[in-house]
Amino acid sequence: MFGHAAPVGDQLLYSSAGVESVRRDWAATIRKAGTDVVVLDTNTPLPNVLAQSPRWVRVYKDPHNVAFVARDHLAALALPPPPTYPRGDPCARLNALKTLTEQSG
Amino acid sequence: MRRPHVIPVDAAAREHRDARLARSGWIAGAAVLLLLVCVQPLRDTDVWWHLALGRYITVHGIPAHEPFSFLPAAYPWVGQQWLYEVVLAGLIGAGGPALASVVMGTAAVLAIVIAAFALPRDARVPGAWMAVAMVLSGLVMAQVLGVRGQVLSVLGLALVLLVVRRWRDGRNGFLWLLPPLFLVWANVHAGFIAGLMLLAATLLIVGRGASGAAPSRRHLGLALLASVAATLVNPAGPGIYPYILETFTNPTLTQTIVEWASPDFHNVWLRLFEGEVILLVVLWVASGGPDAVDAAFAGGTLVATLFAQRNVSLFAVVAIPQVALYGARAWRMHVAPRMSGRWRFAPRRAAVLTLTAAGAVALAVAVTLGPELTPTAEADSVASRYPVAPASYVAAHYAGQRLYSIDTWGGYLVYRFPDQRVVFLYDETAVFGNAALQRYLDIHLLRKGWPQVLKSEQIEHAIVPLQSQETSALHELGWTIDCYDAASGSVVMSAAPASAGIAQTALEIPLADPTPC
Repeated sequence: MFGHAAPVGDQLLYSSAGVESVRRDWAATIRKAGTDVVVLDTNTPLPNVLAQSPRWVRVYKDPHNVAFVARDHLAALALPPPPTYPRGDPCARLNALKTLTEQSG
Repeated sequence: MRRPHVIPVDAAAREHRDARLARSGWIAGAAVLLLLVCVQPLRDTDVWWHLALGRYITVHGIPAHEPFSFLPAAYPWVGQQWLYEVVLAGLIGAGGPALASVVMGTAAVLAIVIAAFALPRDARVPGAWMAVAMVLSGLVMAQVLGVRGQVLSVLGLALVLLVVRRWRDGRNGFLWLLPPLFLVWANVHAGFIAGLMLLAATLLIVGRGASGAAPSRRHLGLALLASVAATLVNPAGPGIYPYILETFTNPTLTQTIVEWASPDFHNVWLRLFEGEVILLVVLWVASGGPDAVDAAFAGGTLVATLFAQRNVSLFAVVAIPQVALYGARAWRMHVAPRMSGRWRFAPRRAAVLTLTAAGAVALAVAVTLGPELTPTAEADSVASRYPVAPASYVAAHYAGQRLYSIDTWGGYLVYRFPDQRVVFLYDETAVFGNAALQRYLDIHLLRKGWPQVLKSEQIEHAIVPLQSQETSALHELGWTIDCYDAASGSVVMSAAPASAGIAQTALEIPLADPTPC
């Protein structure tokens, strides 16, 4: 799913909205779609649920986005290590902000 | 030279009587038809906590503090609707939900009929236009009617419209109906504020600089003052005004409760409201422009509706006499002169036709509504809207233990568990304060830290809709489903024992062979 929503049809739109708002069958929907990584905005319902679930592992977080992988798929995915960025790069600044955010709880 | 049209005196009297009968037929037919949309089952979720409170007041008197939730309420209880609650408990005690549905539905129809008569004495508005206005406004306001205190505000507002109209016709005596009206109104629903505002607007607009036969502004001013004084006779005294102001301006309330939000014009029902607004403006223009008071009433209630869609009933009731009056004028000016005589019925024939049609409508309404008002039908309706069986399951297995539920079911659970303080939050949210409402929203909207709220409030059981986000989230947290109620589509869930691992719960919510509640 991406921003150009009209061509995908109502059914897929409803499914996508159901996943984002953690409606029943959200897990089945993403599993059926063969989803490897769930990437969402921080502080939205699904990340707030996955963060509490032992079945999911957070693999990435910055002040705006967060990514999760199902624990039983983690090994099979062979994710790369978290990237590093040169000083002054916007991504490096985001990482610094992330560290600050986590320190402040 | 044309011969003059001469009608003998008794023939004229007969024609006049037939015309009145025809008009009555239109109005009666519309009123009876409106029972179909005004007599509603217990659809409004607030009805349950009002009912629980009515029973509480009957036994203990008006509480000083919130009596049902385990949350500490931030504010003292303001029993502003105590009279409505006691009457509601009496009605349901005497005749079950069906009696409450019929009484409140009839009150709504009565309000619509009264508003239809709030016309200038010399206006000569045909019954057909009155019927059109009644049915249109009835449909517009139907979504916010039912067994709820707001119906009584619609009735109060209709009475204010009638009194103001009669006063403008020079009948000052009608004004003295206002203080007793406001005395009762202030003890049944906060909408009395709208009535006071209409009176104040009338005082400001009507009769400035007029003399002679103009209605007495002094009398209206005195009646308004007496009405304001009458509203102070309530359990909160003058404190009722800050309470209402706080409720109306609470941003959390207006942002989280649909009825308090601005209208969503994608909703079909609100399209009807939009249509009535446009129709009224067209009729104003087509009939030569509105009276200043009418324009102020319609404009004021329109603005109120744009702030909170629950006020649509105020606009609709104000629009009834205006659609009838300006519609009839516009018709006479633009359509009637072009119509051929074959479309005009003799008064006798019109009376027979309209009264026969009204009788047929009454029969059809009785046949339609009757089966819906049987005890079985009412019980089925309640069981399909509220978690009746899950509440019984909780009473049997988790008596006295704290429950999470969605706020709209909180009122029903308060009704089921009035003495145990096991309910989190229900829709009298203003008394709990913003902090409590935010804690509820932390869970309901699955905000960051939502499980900590459950933990800190020591909640280990929940009654939630199966399709809700809470059910999925609690399942992900390891909670299990105790039972499922197919009628209301709800489940009872419980926190997993500390020793149980999350791996024991399935990935998807298991409902292949659910235990019924």
